[in-house]
Amino acid sequence: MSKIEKIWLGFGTIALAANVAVPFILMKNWDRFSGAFLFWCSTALLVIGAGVYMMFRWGEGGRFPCR
Amino acid sequence: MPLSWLNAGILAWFLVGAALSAKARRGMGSGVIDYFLANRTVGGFVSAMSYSATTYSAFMMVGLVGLTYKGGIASLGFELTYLVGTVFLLVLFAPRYWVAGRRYGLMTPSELLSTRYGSKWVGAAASLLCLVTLVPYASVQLMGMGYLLEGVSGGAFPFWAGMAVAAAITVIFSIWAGLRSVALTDALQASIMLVACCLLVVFIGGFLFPEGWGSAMAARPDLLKVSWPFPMFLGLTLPWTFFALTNPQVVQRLYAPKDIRSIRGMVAGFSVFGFIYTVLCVILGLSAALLVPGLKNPDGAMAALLTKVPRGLALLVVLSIFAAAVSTLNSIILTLSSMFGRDLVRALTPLSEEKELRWGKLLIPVLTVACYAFGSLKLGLIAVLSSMASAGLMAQLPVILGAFFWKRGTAAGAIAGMAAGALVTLALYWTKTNFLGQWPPVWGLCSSVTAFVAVSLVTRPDPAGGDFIETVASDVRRTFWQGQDF
Repeated sequence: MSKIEKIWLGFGTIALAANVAVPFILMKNWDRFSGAFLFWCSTALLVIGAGVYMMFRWGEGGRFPCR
Repeated sequence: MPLSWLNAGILAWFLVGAALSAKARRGMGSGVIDYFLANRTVGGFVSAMSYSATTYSAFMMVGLVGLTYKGGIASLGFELTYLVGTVFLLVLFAPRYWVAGRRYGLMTPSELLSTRYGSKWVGAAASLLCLVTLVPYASVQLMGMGYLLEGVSGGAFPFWAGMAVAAAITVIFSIWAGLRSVALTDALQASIMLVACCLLVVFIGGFLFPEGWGSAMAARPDLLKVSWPFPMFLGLTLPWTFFALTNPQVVQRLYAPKDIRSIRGMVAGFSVFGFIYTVLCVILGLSAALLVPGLKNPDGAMAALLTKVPRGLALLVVLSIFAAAVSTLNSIILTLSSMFGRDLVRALTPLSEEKELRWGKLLIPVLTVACYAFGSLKLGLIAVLSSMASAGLMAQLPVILGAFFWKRGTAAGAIAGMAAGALVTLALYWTKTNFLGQWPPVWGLCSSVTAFVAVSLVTRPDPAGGDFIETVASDVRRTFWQGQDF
């Protein structure tokens, strides 16, 4: 696993854990859109954005003689 | 909605799909790789739309809307945690599956396990697990159609007829030109799903809540609270978080893109599609709770909501749900049929490519009938049934992770891990036991990890397994990160 993939692994694990823990611990009683709704949307967009950044660092190799 | 409208709409949609299937068939070559993987030549846009349509099923517009209707905003967390997990996993694993598929000529996800662990029985066990658990999940698609058509037609389109029509179309789209047809019709269906969902939200926001949707929500602040018990959230979310690795119908798609650019387009396109579609479906669930409160069956919320909108829009939404169900179902059926020939029949007897393809095609109608029969039983809430199927598939998770990262993992350990995880999960669901308050997927995963590690440590690993791990890692590094060819 490359260094950038290890960073992605750590980032993704934290994002997933936060996605579950934060609303259940800190936002349990918020009954507004600025509560869990906003948190979950923001986390998802952050991970999607970071994922797209990661993928744009992929090269353009991988051509393969026909199998 | 009048029956004639529904019949005409479904017929028109089917004819467009059939035309696309016919177009796909014209470009079809021979052999199993061409039939089940479109000869590994699928472009980025079609891959993205097809992956989205395969992943997002009738569950979204029926089950997720119902779940939101019943339990409020926590369903958004459940579904977006799935999306976050999928993006996270695809960035790591899509390159690995793609290079392994090309390097070893793999066709099914289970075949990768057989190759890595050096035993055809590992692939056979994984395929058997997928067959057993995916029949209920596929049946959910048919049930969704049955409930919806029955609901919107006021009972004129009976439950069984809705299921039968969806099943028949699935067989036609799948068997005609394999993945070429499925991917192309999926792309059409994903477009219909997104457009219809957007139009419905715009209409509801603009016409049914004239004072503004946000103000209307003020009447039900309880819906914006995270009201699910944590064990329920964890029990439903855990299997879905790893859906991208454990569900063979989406894993197989990772073999099909024609190049790295197409993989990038697939993952990025799916991510954007998934986010928009999820948020819109949750908004529809919340809207249904405000507009049609007091329904006994939450899965009927969408059908009830559609009685509030113009018939033309309602018809488009019904067709979009139909499209979502069929696109998921045909992908599952196609993948399972490829696994049947490649991983089960070939494990028992040598098979020519021609016979393997014949076995695979034979299984398409057989599996569809099995799904129809299971769906006719009308078991449980759609969301719970779907999650239960994913929970069973999660028994493969440690074995899949071990395939790429743990050289000490053995074939015996892999089979023991899958068997233990699946049996514990199914037994706990069967007896309705939430041991220590946790749902069955938690214990299924613990059992699977324990059995896989323990049995692997007391058995001898296949030396070729280490070579597999190193070869895949090296290919990913060279092709994806250094831009080299194979």
